[in-house]
Amino acid sequence: MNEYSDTELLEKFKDESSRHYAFNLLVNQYQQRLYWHIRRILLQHDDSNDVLQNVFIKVWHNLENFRGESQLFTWLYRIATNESLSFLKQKKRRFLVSFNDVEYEMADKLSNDPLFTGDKVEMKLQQAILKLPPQQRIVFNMKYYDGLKYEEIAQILGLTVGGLKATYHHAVKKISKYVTAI
Amino acid sequence: MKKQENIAENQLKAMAGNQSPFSVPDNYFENLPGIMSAKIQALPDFDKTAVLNPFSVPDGYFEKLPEMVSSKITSRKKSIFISLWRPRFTIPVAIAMLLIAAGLFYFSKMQPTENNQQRLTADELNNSTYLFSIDEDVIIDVLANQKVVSKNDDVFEQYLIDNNIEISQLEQAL
Repeated sequence: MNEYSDTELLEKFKDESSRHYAFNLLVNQYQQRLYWHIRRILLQHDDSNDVLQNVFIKVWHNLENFRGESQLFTWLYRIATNESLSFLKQKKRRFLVSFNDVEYEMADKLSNDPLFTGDKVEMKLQQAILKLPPQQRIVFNMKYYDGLKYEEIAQILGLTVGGLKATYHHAVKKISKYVTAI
Repeated sequence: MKKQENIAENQLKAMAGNQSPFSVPDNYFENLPGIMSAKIQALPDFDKTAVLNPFSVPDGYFEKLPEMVSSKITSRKKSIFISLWRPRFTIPVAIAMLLIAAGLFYFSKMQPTENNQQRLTADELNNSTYLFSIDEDVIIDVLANQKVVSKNDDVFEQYLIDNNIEISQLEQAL
């Protein structure tokens, strides 16, 4: 599929006659990147699917106000990150449990998830990632799995590059310690 | 001085022997290379060249997603209404409805209506001393400014048209 530039997509979206077409192109273009970003935070497909659809609905309602001060994908990632974190908070509030309990439940579900195809090593790695505080987890995923540059992550999360490097370093240390623990 | 240190060292050796006071679990050193190898394998390659994705999605998920999002957007207006009846909105909606009902009841009591207005008959008005307390000029002003609209105007007009009577004829007759 052809990749459309932000400008092309936004111009098509601004035109009432091609708005739905432009939005469809946008969904096709970004769905996989956003899905995997959300899935790595929430781990379960059904949760990720719900959040991803909410993200796109938000995008539909707010794209007209997007001023192009950042790249479109940065803006989309930011919405996806915020929606995922909100989802976790809601889950925590709904069941009146702490983040740790939510993560325990997530790890437990993962071990029985038919859509998790990783081996024991991958399972251990996911468990280690789940032990991280939410922000560290997101930074680690964006750097390690999504292969984003520190500058890009800084734009998405509104953090400094120096702070992100330190966060990633701490995350790596904690993960290494966890996976190598007997 | 050196002779004294040698004596102390020899005494310690004689007391504790030349062996380490610590011991290790059975077969520790035999097993260590295997343990280390497993650990190294478990360690993610943080300077990775390729990262494996351990997650998968249901078949055809990404092909169906644009359509799912599209249908959600078009049915959003309906869902806003329905969403008010979700359990978490039940109490706020019920409170809001009660407040509205109470407000309507309160204001309906406050506003005068035809039913609860006191109507005076012509005789009661004549016998009333209330009008005497109002200045005559005020009454004249109110009457002068009042827009009198008779419900019968249309009937009169229609009558004059039907009977072909002109205003000038009426003026002469009067």
